[in-house]
Amino acid sequence: MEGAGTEADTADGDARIVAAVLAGDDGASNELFARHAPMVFRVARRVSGDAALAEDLVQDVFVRVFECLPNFRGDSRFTTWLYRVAVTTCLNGVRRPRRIRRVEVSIEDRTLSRGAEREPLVLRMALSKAIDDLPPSLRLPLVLFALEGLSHREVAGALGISEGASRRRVSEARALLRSALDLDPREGGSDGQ
Amino acid sequence: MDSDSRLDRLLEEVARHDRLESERIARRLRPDTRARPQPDRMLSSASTAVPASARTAGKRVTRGLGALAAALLIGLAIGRWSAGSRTPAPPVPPIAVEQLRAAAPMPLWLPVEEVRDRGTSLLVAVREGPTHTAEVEARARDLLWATRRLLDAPAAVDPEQLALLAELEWILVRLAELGPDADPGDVAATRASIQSRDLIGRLHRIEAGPGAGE
Repeated sequence: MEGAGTEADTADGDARIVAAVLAGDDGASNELFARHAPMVFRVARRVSGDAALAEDLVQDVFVRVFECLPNFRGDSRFTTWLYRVAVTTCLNGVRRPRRIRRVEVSIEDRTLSRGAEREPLVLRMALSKAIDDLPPSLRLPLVLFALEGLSHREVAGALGISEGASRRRVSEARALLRSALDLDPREGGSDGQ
Repeated sequence: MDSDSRLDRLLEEVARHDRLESERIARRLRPDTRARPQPDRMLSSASTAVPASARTAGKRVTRGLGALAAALLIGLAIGRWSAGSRTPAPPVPPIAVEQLRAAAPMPLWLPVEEVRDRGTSLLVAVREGPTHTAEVEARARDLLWATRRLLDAPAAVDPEQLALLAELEWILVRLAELGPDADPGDVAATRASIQSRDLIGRLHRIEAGPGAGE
């Protein structure tokens, strides 16, 4: 996760680039794309469950971003606004009747034994698949909070839900993940929130 | 370590892996022509800031320019028409109907052959190559596109072929996602999948050519 100083620098940089894009600077639009395409790809990949489709969705998101940029008022950080556009565009994108293939982060060819002796790689793949299997209402808050490092306030802003709902959904998602990975809940503490 | 700490650690691992993967993929992504600022939209939003009187004056100028352009176009069209009536048009070659008929099945069966040959060659390279390479990844991505096009095409109506193509697609996705710095265990698992599904042998047995898949 980025530090506070870095976040401030990033926000300043974003504001400068957005102003340049709105002034018609082509180089700035490329810079904006290069700067945020990885984040948009991660969101698209987690929403769609398909890396190839996610690449298409990245383009869709930036089409939308450049369409809507004149309406960005700067009330929130640019990245919060971008998360909101990315999530909405990707959800609409996967609802369209195009072929959607879930990428199976399959572990069928590997031995998955339960317990502490499982390899970290296998556990990571199993967790990644378990996240993809969560229902979207739980998956998106978890992805934004736990993987993207947003605060509950930012998650709430990006998804159009309350902060309380964000906390509850992340907590519920974590419980499902613990259960999917067979991590013993009796040893559990708080949800790290 | 309690279950929450283990989950946190694993989530950090997933986040780190996702970041590395997304940065690798985003490096080769370029904004397509649609994903650029639309000057007309920018202008339309900017026009709201222009005073109404100025907008009206602008409209008058635009209308005048439009009328001038229309007059020029009509003049050009009349000129071309009168020139055309004096010069005989070049002879149009007769349409080779037989040739068109022969070519018609091409789009249906050519990709099957293409996917079969390129797929076999790629899977043999993966089976026999010492490590996973960036070249394999690039070839898998290219072939993935052709395979998906074929899956969406009417040629792929044979259910057996469809099943094979879907399996091939799945393997190609894995190969494309492994990346050059893939874990050797993942590479081995992918190779084992290719072997256990007999993908190479089944691809060999695909019949392509006119009539295949009809």
